[in-house]
Amino acid sequence: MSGGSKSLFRSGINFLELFKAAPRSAQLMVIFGGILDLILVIFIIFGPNIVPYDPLAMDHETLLPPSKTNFMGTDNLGRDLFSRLVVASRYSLGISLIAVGVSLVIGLVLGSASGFFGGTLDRILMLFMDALYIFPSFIYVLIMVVVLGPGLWQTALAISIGRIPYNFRLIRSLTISVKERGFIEAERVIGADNWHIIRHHIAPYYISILFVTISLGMARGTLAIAGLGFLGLGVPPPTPEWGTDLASGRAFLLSGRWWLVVFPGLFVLIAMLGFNLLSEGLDTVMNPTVRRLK
Amino acid sequence: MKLRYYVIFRLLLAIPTLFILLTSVFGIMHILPGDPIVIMYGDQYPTAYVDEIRGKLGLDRPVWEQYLDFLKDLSRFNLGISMIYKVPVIRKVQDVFPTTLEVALGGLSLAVIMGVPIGVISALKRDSFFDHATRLLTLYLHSNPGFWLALLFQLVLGLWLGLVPISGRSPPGFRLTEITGMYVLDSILTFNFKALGQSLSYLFLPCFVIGITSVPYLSRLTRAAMLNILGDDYITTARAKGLPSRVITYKHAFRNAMLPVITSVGGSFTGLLGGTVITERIFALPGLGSLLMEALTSRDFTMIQGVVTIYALIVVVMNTLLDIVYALADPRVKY
Amino acid sequence: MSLLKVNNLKTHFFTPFGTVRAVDDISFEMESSVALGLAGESGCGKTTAAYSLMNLVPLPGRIVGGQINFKGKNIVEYNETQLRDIRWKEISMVFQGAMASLNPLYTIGDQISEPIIYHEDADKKEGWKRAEELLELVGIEAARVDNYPWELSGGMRQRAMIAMALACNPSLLIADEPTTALDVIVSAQVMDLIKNLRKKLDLSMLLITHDISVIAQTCDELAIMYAGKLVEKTDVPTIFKTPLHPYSNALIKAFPNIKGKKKKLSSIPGSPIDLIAPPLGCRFAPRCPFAQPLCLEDEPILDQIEKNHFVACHFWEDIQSKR
Repeated sequence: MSGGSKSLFRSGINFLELFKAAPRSAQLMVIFGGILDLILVIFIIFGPNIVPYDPLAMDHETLLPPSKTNFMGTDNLGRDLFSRLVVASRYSLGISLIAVGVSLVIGLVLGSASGFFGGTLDRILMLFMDALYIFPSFIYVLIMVVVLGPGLWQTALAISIGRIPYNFRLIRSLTISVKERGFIEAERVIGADNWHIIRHHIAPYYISILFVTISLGMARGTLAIAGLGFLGLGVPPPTPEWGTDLASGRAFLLSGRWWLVVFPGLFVLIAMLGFNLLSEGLDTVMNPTVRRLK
Repeated sequence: MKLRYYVIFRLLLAIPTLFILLTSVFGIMHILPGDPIVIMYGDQYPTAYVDEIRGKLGLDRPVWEQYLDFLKDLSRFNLGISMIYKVPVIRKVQDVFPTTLEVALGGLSLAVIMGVPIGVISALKRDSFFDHATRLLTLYLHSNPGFWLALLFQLVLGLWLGLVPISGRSPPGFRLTEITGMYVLDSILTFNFKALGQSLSYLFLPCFVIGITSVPYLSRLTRAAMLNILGDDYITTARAKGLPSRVITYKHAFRNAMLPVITSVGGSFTGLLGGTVITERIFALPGLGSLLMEALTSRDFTMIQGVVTIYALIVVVMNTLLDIVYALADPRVKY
Repeated sequence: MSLLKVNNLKTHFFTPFGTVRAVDDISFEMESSVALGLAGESGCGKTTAAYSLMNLVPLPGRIVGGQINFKGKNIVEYNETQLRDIRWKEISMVFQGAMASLNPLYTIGDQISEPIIYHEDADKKEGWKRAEELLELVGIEAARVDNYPWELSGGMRQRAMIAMALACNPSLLIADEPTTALDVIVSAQVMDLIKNLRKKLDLSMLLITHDISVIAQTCDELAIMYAGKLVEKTDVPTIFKTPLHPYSNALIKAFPNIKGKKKKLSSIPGSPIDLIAPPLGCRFAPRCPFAQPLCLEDEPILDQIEKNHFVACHFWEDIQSKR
């Protein structure tokens, strides 16, 4: 992912101009990803209001395949799968959002401090973060979820801690590359004050990376939550969650009830696609590189 | 000659890394706010019993004392006694470790075998149909949750088409003298080709799924590295020399692109290892991941700590090995 | 038959901003054993012209017209196989920045012997032996054959590049700004080396540079390019004594004479033109002190005014008589 040094991003150029100048593939990715994300946001906010049935109500016949009445079939307790999965967005994505926010803030603080001040602080943090970085974050998350106990906030915290080493590295290298640019000194020489420098010359680089990092973080977070749910460490039943429903559906896979496995996974796929497409498209749009000048 | 020094240097460097990881393992278990024992047991058992457990585990002693004991035990390869199984943790770990290693390495190999060539060809045939098609495919694969893909493959390839077994490591009546515990390796070493075929067929699906989830990352990275290098000046020099294009692509371009690829294999492995926990559950493989899950659900404190220590060890060893391979590949690495 | 006869060569770059006409109809001839210097400002097209000779123009560039007759054969029409045959064996090149032009992962011995092994079907031993000989030829100790490019100093790297370029005994050696990346002393050493090699091996050479003092020391002939066009070509003594084209004159006068009287440094006012949409008339006219209305409308063609003197200017005679 490109950060500062190859980017032509300048403060003052607004997003629309960048978008129009981007290659068609990037534009499509932003649009398509954006639409998917919008759908998800609608699910999150209006979920319970737009679904045909109560996700917790065991009103229907059990294990029905998809039909006109039950769009995605029913589960083994007679609940409408579609309603469950739509409402599940709240938990999967909500927790993810909190996790992304927390890890971003911590990563921002630690990473920029480390990059800006350098020295012993940097060395210590780097040593620490490098060690954590090479360890599979999902296993951290697993341990933390058990040690911290069940609950929304605890899960969010666990996932955010798993993401911190990555964010730290990203922000740190961005800070260093911004710091080393000559124009900071040049600006000081002509007497610009610190606030002006930060606003016009430093912040744009961070902002351009912000949206991409958030999108990517949401994707990874959603996947982690679904993974936790699948392993039985997610939100406790009967709360609907994509991973948990996938796990419970799995028991019926062998008897041919494919919809209990296919649809929960499909929701995860759509969420991931939405975030990944958006983040990739945004990355290309906001960091245009001059192609092939040799 | 000089490589020996680098190997030693790198091994020495691995120690503080391992140290930090182990300390953070310890930290997670002990120092987090909220008494872990209360969290894990408090709601199920009366306070007196909880205190007894705490005493037995030595968790009522001051933290730094526990930490020193932890390190002391580690140096003697003592990972404690499992609370549930009442046997040394290391014994349980030894049983399951080869399975995870086999699956992880198999998956990694498949990922490299599939991902890297795709990246190279995409770079060489930039903007061709192949390039666009694979980029779309990798974009999709990147977003596809691995465990969902695994289940779908189980369903289609295993159940509906009956091509491959869907769970476990071996069929009933499987005979093999175990040396390392890794079935593929052992069957080769004992010339037991029937066992080789059987274990490979059981290993195929889990390794394939693990591999394919790492393909997007590896192929994109390889493609980017190749494109980058193909624009470098020494490639122009090679073309000016009138060398055959095969030589230019592999001897000059790919050889240089291999360097960032080696680094990225490390990153892939990390993610892959995290994914083995879920994969082992889906394919009913008795590995470290399933041991970890058992320990987590039964709140086997010492077992959790022990298994995570082993994971840390695997990761550090792998990264050290990769760094050494990198040093072999890049003569500029100073030592 | 001359070694190299270029007729109306055109090489354009097809960029998203428009077509850059980097080399726009140049013609010249070069005999064997001659050292021809190709000079001009940055962006005048001289490097593109050099790359065109080996058909190595990078994308999005392409040769769009003209002929390059090397030893009688038009190599513009060659396919990849034929090109590969003559590359390095007949025409080789010493690139500008030796550090970037050498593969950091292989020793210089490997890279020097590489073309020998492929073109002459030699085995590794023969190739490396020849590499050692070549290194000695350029003044590097043979033991260095096992060194990597980054283990050598800047000057040594450039000399290694020269050794590499000579590996297959080419008929024509193209040197693209061989001294630009070097400091003055090392640069002088390299130029001395080139001079000696030329004498020893009877080498034909095309030297690309913006520094005409280098050409003055080492070349027999000089061709000056401006904005994709050739403006003057003749032998070195003539052009330094009596440059006919206003641009040549300005260029030569711009270089301070270390022995002459102290004068104010002269420069050429204005800046190079846009090669996507070049003006209709003479391309130098906007900056030319002698420009007439005709110059802005009618493009001068390269006239042969003597056996080996070509000028592209409407008024060269008038200008000369006034001096």
